[in-house]
Amino acid sequence: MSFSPSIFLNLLIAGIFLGGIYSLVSIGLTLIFGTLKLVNFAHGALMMVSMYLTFWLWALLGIDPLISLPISFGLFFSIGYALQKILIMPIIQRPVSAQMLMTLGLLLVIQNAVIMLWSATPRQVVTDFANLIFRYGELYINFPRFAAFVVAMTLSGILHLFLTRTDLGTAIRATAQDSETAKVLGIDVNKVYALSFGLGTACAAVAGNLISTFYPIDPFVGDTFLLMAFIAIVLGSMGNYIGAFIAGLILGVVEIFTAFVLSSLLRQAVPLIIFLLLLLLKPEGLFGGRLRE
Amino acid sequence: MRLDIKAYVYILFFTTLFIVPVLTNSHLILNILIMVFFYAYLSLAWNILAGFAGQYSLGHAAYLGIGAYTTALLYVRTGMIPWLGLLVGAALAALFALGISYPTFRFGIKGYYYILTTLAVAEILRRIFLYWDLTGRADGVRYPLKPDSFLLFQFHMDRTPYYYIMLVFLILILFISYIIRNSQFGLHLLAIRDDEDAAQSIRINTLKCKLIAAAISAALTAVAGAFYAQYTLFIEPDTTMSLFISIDILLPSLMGGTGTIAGPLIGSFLLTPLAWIFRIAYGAEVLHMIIRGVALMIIVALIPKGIAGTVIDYYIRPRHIKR
Repeated sequence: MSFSPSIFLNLLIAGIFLGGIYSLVSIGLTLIFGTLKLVNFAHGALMMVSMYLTFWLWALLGIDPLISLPISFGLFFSIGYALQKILIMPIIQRPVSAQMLMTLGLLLVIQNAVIMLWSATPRQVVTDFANLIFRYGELYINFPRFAAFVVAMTLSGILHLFLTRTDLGTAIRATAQDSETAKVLGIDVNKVYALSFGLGTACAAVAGNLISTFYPIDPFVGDTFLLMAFIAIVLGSMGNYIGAFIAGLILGVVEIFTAFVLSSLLRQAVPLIIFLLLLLLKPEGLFGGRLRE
Repeated sequence: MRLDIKAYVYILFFTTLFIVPVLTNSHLILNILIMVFFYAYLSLAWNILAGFAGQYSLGHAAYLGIGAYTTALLYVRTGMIPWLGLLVGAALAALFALGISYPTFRFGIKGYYYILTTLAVAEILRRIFLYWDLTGRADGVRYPLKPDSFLLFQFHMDRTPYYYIMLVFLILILFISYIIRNSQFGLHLLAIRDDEDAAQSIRINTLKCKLIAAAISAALTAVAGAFYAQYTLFIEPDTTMSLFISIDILLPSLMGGTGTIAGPLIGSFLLTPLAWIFRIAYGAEVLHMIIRGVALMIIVALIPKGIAGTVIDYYIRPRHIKR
């Protein structure tokens, strides 16, 4: 298989667009990890539910995905906030493994409840601009993917400003760094936990909303994104949201090139192998920060 | 004295189980009991690494898959009898576990990193099996049907032989767990689980102990994989190696009590029939999965030590202390 420069560029662009979505999902996961030190297995499932919400809003009420974006954000922020209060808060003192198993249970319940309610048949949101493709010479740019990428980047930027420029954002970062000291400084740590769970979930929900126009919606779609987000947050150093952002982009590119060069069946196997090597050789990730447990 | 009562209970319990096929040859009852034994066995195997040595694995489905595929492929491709394939599979799984665990433990990977590593390994293996011609890709491996034979490990007339084989496996793994638990090696594992640094400071070779525990646990899991292949006579990556299988493996232990010997047994007797009744009644895997999820959440929230662990804490330990 030979690469002409135009094929290379097209693959790179496709990879970066996909990576932008991975970035947003991973930022959400790493925000939760940063403060709660907990890997949320239900992250992908919540994203999947958001895709269904987008689908039903579009199918039943004719609301365009771009318009239902704020609805997804608000609703899933509240859901994440509530989930943390109801499920995680009572076992916050337990070992991390127990909390991870709790979210694993949540994943099973959500995923199968969705299969029961809406079957496993894939669905798709079809909007007017679904097949719009811009062409610049040899370059092809798929508009829905491009729009999703732009929105994902914008939201990541806003999130960065929120975390660095506001009191609440600073409180989140302080708690992530050292929750005991944060408590001493008068930060309501429990509120920060719920807040970051809410924000993290909202990130996943927005990502789900964005891809609903070009990604088939089925109950298992979250699994892939969860897996890639796992890899991205380790690659980007757990809890480091800028690292997760960059790692997400890298993974998107790696995946697209793997699919092209090897086989689309192995598209996620190669990132997984990178992940494994990373866990074994450099578990603290590429961007420094928190060390192993 | 207490130990004697426990031994009597075990003997009575297993004698009853030995008599069951004499009383009934209902496919349904035997099938459910076989699955109860199967998951109790798997969970006990998992328990050796997770419960005794404290290394939580979410990738035991990989060892199950290795056992099942090795046995099935050796039989289908070379005609090697499944009983030998079972041993080869167990050896391969142990080697595989060592290959994965050595770097992992060597670099001090613990807690959630170990969970993620094992999860990733199982997931990679499943995807490779889905892609590899040798393993039949997504079609899996199908056995040619042969007349009933113990040597070929195939029985079609009734489920009784499978029942007794799995029951014997279960009793064997209970013995193995008991022996490990009461050996010096077992004590070392418990010490590692409770405080690895302290264990190291009293000159326990923690790396070696954890590796041995991982290898034993993997080999025993692969044996169940071989049984599974012979029982269903058809295997595919998704039903042998997915994350949900790994969850099924750890659920009975969590329910009954991780680190105890009776725990996984109790857990499987409570959970497996429940799941199967729903599966049969509604014909859907979906409710079965929801039950798994709800069970997991309830156990984690309400009985973190499992049934046996809680009983030991409330009734047995205080008496020991009084003595």
